[in-house]
Amino acid sequence: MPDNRRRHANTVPIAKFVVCLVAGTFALVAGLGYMWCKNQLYTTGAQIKKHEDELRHLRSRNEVASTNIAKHTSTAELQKRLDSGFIKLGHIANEQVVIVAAKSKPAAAGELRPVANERKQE
Amino acid sequence: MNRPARKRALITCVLLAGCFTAFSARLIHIQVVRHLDYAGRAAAVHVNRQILHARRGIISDIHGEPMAQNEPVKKIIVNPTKFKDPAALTALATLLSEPLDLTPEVILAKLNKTIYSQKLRRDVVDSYVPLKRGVAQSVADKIIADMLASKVLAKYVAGVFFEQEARRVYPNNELLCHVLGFVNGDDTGLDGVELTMNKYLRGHDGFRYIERDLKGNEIVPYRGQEHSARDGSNIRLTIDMGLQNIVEQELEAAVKEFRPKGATVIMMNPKTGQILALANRPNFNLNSPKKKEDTASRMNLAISAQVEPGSTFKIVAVAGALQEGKITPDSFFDCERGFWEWCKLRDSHPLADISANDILVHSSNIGVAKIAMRLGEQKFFEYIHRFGYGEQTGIGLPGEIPGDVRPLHRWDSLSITRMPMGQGIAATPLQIATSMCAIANGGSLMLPQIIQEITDDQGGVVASFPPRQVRRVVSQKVSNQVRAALIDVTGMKGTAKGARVPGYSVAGKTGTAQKVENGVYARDKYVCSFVGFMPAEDPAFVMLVLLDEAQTKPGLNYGGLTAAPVFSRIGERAARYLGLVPKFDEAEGAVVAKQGREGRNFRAQ
Repeated sequence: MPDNRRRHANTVPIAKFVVCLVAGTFALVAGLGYMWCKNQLYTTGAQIKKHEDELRHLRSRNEVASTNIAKHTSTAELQKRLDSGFIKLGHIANEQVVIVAAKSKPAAAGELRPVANERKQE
Repeated sequence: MNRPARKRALITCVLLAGCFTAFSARLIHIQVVRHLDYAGRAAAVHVNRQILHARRGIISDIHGEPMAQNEPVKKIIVNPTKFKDPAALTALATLLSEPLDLTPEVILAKLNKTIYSQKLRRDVVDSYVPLKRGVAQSVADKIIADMLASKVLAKYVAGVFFEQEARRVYPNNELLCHVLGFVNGDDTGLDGVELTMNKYLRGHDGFRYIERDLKGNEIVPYRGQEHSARDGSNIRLTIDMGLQNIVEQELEAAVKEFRPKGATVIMMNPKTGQILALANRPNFNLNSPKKKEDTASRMNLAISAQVEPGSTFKIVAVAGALQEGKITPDSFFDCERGFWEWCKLRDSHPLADISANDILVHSSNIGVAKIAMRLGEQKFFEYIHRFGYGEQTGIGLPGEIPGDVRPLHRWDSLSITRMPMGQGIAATPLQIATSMCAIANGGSLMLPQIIQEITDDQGGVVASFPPRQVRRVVSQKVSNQVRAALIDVTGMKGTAKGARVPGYSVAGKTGTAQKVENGVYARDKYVCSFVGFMPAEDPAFVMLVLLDEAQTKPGLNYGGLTAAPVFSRIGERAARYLGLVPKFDEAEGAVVAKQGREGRNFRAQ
């Protein structure tokens, strides 16, 4: 384009547009990112609260259960049940006792071996 | 610029500078000097301090069986301002009446209660009405479910809410009630271990600063400073619930048989001073402690009652005289054939010359008075204190009294003849048991202990209480000499044949003390006791059985006939529980049993 015409033509300030576009995009992304982060923050907060409530509820149920176990296995309660005939103490015969231990093989003469609670053959 | 204009500009600038300086100063004052104050005011508007409640520690026996623990419960609260429709409030009152065990009228009266509002300067309906505490979790869940199911109340669920609380629960009800104690509604210990160990048990509440939105919901991202709650420490007692149960059962049987006004059994480990079992009658249910006025059942007789120890006190004079070398077990004393004219002292049976050993065996009042006189007032007084009488034992339970030992300058000429047989002196049952421990363990007075250790919620030991010797009272040799005499007390010629336990050697001493009423000894009111230990050669436990005003036929109100058999019954079951090895006694043809693997299974041989 000749110089005389260029002087009077309307030039497009691309650089400025680009700067504005970048700035606008940055502002938009930053704004959306901020909103997204904020939203995430609240969502996570709600989840934390929900989990805390669940945890508290479970702890509470656990304590109720352990209280009930303590009540039902207490000496006083067991004695009451024993007196009422609900449970009774029985003698455990020797034959009924199972000893959970591997029977060791007969040792060779002079061989050292660990001592185990072996049951005598009757 | 001409001069007047410049002057005006200067004045304006100075004024503006002054204004800005003033504003700056005010800002600094607000932001820096009054920062905390204004920050606090701002926080008060939208920030709440949420309390994080600490869990109260658990009390367990020596094997870890829980004896006091917490049950989560709810406090139900209603906000009547949320109920726009009056019919809904009535429906709510009807719905809550059954699960809360309150009449609808009572609930409605609470819900319609008004309070004066300073802000509005008029009466308004209270927005926070606590209806009931201690509501079980299941009941709370049912209330919400019922509300949601109701057409009228479904939209008002937000008007009913629950606050988490904990209720102290004692699974064994009456067992060990005087030792454990109980708590009030705010979880503060009022008696027993709950009171003395309160600072360890209660823990420390935490806090958290939170912000709420308009609907009152917490805004979690805006949580501020947080300090976690520290749960209370757990207490492990020295009590063995197996032994405690045996003691409670046999004591209950004795109470039914003799109908005493009060009764106490104390079982101790003489080597460590640890209390293995302790039971009193009357007692009470820890889960529903009786009213304040009913102090009789709440009283821990073992440490709060003072009784004349009677003949159980004779070991003090005899042990003291042996220790000081004033007598030997074979020293003979003239027992005046049952009546000592000089001091008007009587024996229940006429006796002539008997050894110091036999004085204990026959429980001769005259004989022990002569031993005490040989020991001397000063030394006898000294031994009374060395055996722990006249001072608190330091067991660490509330309400312990020191007993009453008159100072030496208040003794009259007959005191030295009366005090050796346990008259004119007041002691607690625990003091009597502790003094017998000193004979059983070879001469050391041990500190009675009820707490084994304190642990945190992770099981780490916060504090432990190893056995502590208070002082050495007598030598091993003297202890053995007294022990030999006490074994004979339960022999064929002794006063406590009823205390014998088949298969085991028992040592002990009976006591029958007349009660003092209105300053004189009542003729038909006695405190019967037996304190002993078994197996005599290597004691596993010392036990005191004390019955206050046991109802018996005339002439049978003696420690040897009432308390000693109770000792025997408890001793037999306790020996089996502890796995003590019985010994065959050919002379007496005792039942012979062989100890099983756990000491529980006995087989006749």
